[in-house]
Amino acid sequence: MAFSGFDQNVVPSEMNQVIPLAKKDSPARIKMWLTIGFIAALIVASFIHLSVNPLDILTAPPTMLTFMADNFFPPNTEIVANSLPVIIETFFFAVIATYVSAVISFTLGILMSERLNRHAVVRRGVRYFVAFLRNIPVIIWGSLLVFIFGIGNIVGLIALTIATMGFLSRSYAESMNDIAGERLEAMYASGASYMQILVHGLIPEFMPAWLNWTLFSFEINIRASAILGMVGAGGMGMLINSQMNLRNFRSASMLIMILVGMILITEFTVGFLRRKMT
Amino acid sequence: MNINVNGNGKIALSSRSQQMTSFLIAVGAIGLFVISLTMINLDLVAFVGRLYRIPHILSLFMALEFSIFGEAIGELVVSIAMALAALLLGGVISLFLSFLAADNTAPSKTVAAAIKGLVSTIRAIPNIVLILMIMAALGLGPVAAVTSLTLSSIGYFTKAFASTIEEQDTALIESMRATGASWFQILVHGFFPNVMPSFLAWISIRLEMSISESISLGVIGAGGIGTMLSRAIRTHRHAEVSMLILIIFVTMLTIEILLNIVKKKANT
Repeated sequence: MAFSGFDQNVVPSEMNQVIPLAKKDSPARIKMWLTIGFIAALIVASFIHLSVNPLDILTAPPTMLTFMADNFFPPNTEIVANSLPVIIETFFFAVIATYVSAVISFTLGILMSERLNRHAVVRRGVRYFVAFLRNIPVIIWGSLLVFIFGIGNIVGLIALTIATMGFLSRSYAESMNDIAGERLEAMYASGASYMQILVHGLIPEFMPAWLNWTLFSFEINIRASAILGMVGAGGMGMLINSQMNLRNFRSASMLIMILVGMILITEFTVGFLRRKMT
Repeated sequence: MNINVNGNGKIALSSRSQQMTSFLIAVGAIGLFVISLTMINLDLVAFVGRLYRIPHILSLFMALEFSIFGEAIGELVVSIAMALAALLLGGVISLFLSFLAADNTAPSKTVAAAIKGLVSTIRAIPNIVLILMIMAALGLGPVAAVTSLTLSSIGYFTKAFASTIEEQDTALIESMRATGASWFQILVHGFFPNVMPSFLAWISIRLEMSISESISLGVIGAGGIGTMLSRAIRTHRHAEVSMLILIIFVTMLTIEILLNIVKKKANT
């Protein structure tokens, strides 16, 4: 890749001839410029369609920052005591959603894996199902489920679980396909039952990948559990949203700071654990 | 793996230490789950009490409203346009920031640390929260939406680009400098060809995230197909909701499939 544009066959016939660093009119270059041009046109069209002036956005930060400095600071620390139960709850919601989705996704992952499930129809069906779960943004799952089940924290739990399942099942299936190699073949050949293959062949080998993906999804869940409150699915997001709507910006900023702290700590801990495992 | 004979003379499939580890992990995992369950109070009674309505509500969703298709596509284009605009602004700004933040190209350690700290703070704010703060300052509208998407793109790109730059071997650049190449030549011919494939990969991953975020922001009221969906939900127009969900799903799936093709091409 380093010298992709460098033509090895150019030999300088005279001493002062200049070897170009990249060939001017190679088809690859023309194709690259065409792609860049197309993307540029698309982006320009986007700005025009939205009638948004890019300069408005680049000049927005000063307005924003002065507004925030005036209205969000200093944070109102009094709200902490009242909202502590909800904050703790948000954390444990993420834990439970991670668990439930990890267990369901493990099953779905097996069903999606070519090496562990030989029924192509089942495999394809599960694949489409999981793709559906994965490709609807979590907040839309939230608002849809709130609409179906009514407001409540259990709805948030279901929305979190659904969104995580979409992500985890695919990741699990990919990892299972990667590891399900010789050991499983050998067990299969020596007459082990399907359950024996799963318990003694797959699970021990799969454990590190399983922990890795699950920890990662926990991090995503902490974020998402805050988001879901915005549509009435419980947790910290609901508090932040209501304080914002009441224009109690100082209370909202306190809650946001706690949320950001929680996310940073989770990110750090998960990163630490994942590094330790590999 | 040491072979391990059971009392009844069979050879165990897994060694004892492996079995112990699995057992301990299982006990720890179940313990944490039980503790978490006791820490929250699920409104299970209310939830179960409402379950009888579910079949009826679901049956209402089993219809598609085709008359809104045109409008929905228009709003979808708005959502995608917001994502693309933010992708460009975020990408360009991050290109500069990442050079200042990467250890091997940063002018000073303090600058690098400051930018990295700022960027990880931005990343830690969920972007739905970010847009609430921005909308409080700038009011509703596409400018607020694009600003918040741009900020989260900066959070993502600066970290990603900087890590790619840090992986670069400085030997190539030094040898180019030794042969008398100008700073601009080094950048265009020595540096970009090396980082381009990773940068493009980051951009394509971010594209998918950005569109999904842009649709999500709509639900909060930032415009685009998300806003249309939340309006349809609020006014109980089930068939419209189904249609919009279908459009969102097909869009996201198409993008995912396209990106997978691009990734496969890039790998070969």
